[in-house]
Amino acid sequence: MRLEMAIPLWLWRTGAFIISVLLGLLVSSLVLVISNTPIYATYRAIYTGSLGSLDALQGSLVYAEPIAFTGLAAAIAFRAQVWNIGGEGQMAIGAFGAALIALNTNLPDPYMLLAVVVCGAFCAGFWGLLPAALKVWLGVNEVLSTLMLNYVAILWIQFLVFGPWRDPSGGWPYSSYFPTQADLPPIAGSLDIGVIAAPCLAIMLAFLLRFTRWGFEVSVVGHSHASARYAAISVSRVVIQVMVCSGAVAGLAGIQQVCGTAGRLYVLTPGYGYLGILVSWLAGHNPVLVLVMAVFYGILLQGGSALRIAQIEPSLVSVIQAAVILFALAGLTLAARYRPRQVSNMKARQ
Amino acid sequence: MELPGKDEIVLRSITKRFGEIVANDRVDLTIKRGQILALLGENGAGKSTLMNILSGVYTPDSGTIDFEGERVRFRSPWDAVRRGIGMVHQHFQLVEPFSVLENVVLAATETSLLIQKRAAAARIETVGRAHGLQVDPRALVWQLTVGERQKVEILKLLYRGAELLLLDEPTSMLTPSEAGELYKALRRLADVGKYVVLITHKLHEVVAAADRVTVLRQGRVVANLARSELVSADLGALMVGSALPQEGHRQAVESSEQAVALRVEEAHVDGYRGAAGLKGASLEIQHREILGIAGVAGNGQVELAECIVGLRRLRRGRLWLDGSEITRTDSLARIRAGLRFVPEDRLGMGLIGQLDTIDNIMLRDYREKPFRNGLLLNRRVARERAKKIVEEYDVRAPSVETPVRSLSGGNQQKILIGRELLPEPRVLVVAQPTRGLDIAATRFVHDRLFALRDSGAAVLLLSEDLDEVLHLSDRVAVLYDGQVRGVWRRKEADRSKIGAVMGGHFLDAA
Repeated sequence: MRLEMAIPLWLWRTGAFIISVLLGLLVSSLVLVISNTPIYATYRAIYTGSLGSLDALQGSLVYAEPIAFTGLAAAIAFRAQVWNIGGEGQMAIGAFGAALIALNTNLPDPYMLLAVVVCGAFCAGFWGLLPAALKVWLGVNEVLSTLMLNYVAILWIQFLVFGPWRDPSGGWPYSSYFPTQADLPPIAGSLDIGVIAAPCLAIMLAFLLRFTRWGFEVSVVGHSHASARYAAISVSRVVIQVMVCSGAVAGLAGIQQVCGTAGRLYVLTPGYGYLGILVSWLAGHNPVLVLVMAVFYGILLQGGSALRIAQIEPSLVSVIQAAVILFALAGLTLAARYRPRQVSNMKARQ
Repeated sequence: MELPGKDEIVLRSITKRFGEIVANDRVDLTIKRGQILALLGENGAGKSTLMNILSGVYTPDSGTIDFEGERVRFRSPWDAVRRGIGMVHQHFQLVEPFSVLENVVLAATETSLLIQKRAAAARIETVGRAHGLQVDPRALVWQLTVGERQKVEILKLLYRGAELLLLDEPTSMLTPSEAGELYKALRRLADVGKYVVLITHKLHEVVAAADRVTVLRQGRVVANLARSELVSADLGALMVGSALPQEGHRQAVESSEQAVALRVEEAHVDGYRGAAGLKGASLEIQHREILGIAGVAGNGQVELAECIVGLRRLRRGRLWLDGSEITRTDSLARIRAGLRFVPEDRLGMGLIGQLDTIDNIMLRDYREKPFRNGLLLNRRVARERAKKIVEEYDVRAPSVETPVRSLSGGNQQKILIGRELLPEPRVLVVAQPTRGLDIAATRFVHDRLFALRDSGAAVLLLSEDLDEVLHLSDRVAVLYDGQVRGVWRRKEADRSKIGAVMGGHFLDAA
């Protein structure tokens, strides 16, 4: 007991995380053994492919970037116990908003990018507003409405790139390339400005949630609606604000995808919106930790693609990823539940 | 000591500690078949701990339990259930949207996958008739009165063949006449050979119902008395101990100004799911006055409090605060006008359990000046306030950063009341201010309420505890079925008259 009390919280959590990840790898090893795959070579390939070189690290960060934005988006909503499952759709609509400006205007250099980002975030915020309005005025459960709006958004993009916005010169369902003014400024290699924007946004959100009156309102609504009413906080207003913010931030992921990575609009279906939800849970909805977890997930994804290149059975890659994530989530949940308490033996009498 | 017999349950030398606190200290208890035993004691005397040990929720640190001559050890509540021990909790453990039948079957011990509804209903009716506890098995629980719900709780135990019935404060939610019926039902159960234990802190209940009484104080047995030895005055002294003198009502300082602080005129409020709501309740409170509202739970108390502070809309009627009408203002405007509120739902509404004392101190005033700092919050000031309240109210907490849910109920209530009194309210609405608190904390809260009144504020007290209402109030009113029935000045207030009105028997005078 004494010994447990000496462990600070951050160490307890970090330790739990590392041990869980190792356990996940251990379980994956069993699968590798069963399927006659060399264990050491596999893990070595993951390491060199995702962390072993500067190029490899860059690849991991490219994966981490959109997940960081969708993760932050999820964290904002989940803080207020608003279950926004619509990151995927809000991301797609963000990409649509960006393309709307990029394909139809030819603004000069700094204004183009500004307009692209503002329009993209605005559209995605609107996509978050819809389920919020349905929830507040008609009592529609946001889990269902946000989930279903994902399909609406994806189908809308599909319609555009197969139809009116299809690049006439190419056979694939892509739009034409955006003008170069709409490209996100590159940082190094394949990395763009998003690598800097995401941490800035995370720190801003952390500050907003912890130190501002608005952040306090979000926290109160997230803990108890009855207490919020008692404190004369409008739950409806907070739910709407939170959903609009969450949508807009998820939209940034879409903007980053079309303006940074691809340079044109296409059907975004890599599931980053859902990964954001996962990452937010791993991070306990803490914006700064969301970044850490996004990078962690980026490493897993990049390691996975390295394995595919190394001709290892792709289903095994999924098994390893799933095992590691499952163990990490379970480990962190257990660590939160059974953390050593300072007052554990001061319980009430009755 | 005689050998444990076939028809008794004997607890010997039961000790249970929680950290530093000894909840039960070498407690001996004998329960006899066919008798009603009352376990009497104040809050925190160790009654509930003892009963939780007997029903398998806690395991004792030491001591033994002999069940009809056989040594038993309960490792889980399930072990106790299989032995035929059943408990009726003070707050009913019923699924409200379910029918009586479903609730009873849910608690049953047989493990069959299918529910034979017709057979079960027939059995419930048979058991009910045999013990004078008739309830329609098809009725939905939320439609039942409190007294009927209690019958369902007892039926649950009898249906699964319980031999020992433990009832924790069974009359706290009942009207006097319903309580009378309950005593009769318990007597019938004892007569057919059940063991019955009544856990209570009400002396008249012991006198009315028990064959024997065991008095607990600070975890120890201080007396074992048979019915013939019962004198309620002595019981009171035994229960409270001689060290604590009876505290008295503190008379308000007479003052010439007689300004009405709060006026409620013909308030109509919708009730929630069959609850009464308000049906034209009117009242007036002056400054320097405590108006106590007595009444059985569910007669509109919650609706009255919440409509005054602006958490519930009035369907009809009007409200005035200090002479200006507030009927249409929102709850924020009322907070700012100095109308404060201590709700009965301490952790669900008044405080947020997961947050620490600092954040809870800001809960209703985070928009106002010392806490407001532009768009930001001034947590430094909030921390100072929190420390001040912790010190002034003697809150026992590891630090102001501890989540308040890990504090005891008394300490939570002190933080809640401290926060609401800090801005010097004009009018305070306070509901169930001492529910679940021990004597010291109760007295502390009462002192604060008297002090607040003496500083010129008006206090509207809503409490299910008639003793508390009588003790604190300058005037007493009864809320029955959504209306204020009868208002008495303190001197004219009389227990039996008030009790009658609480039960719906209106006197012409009232």
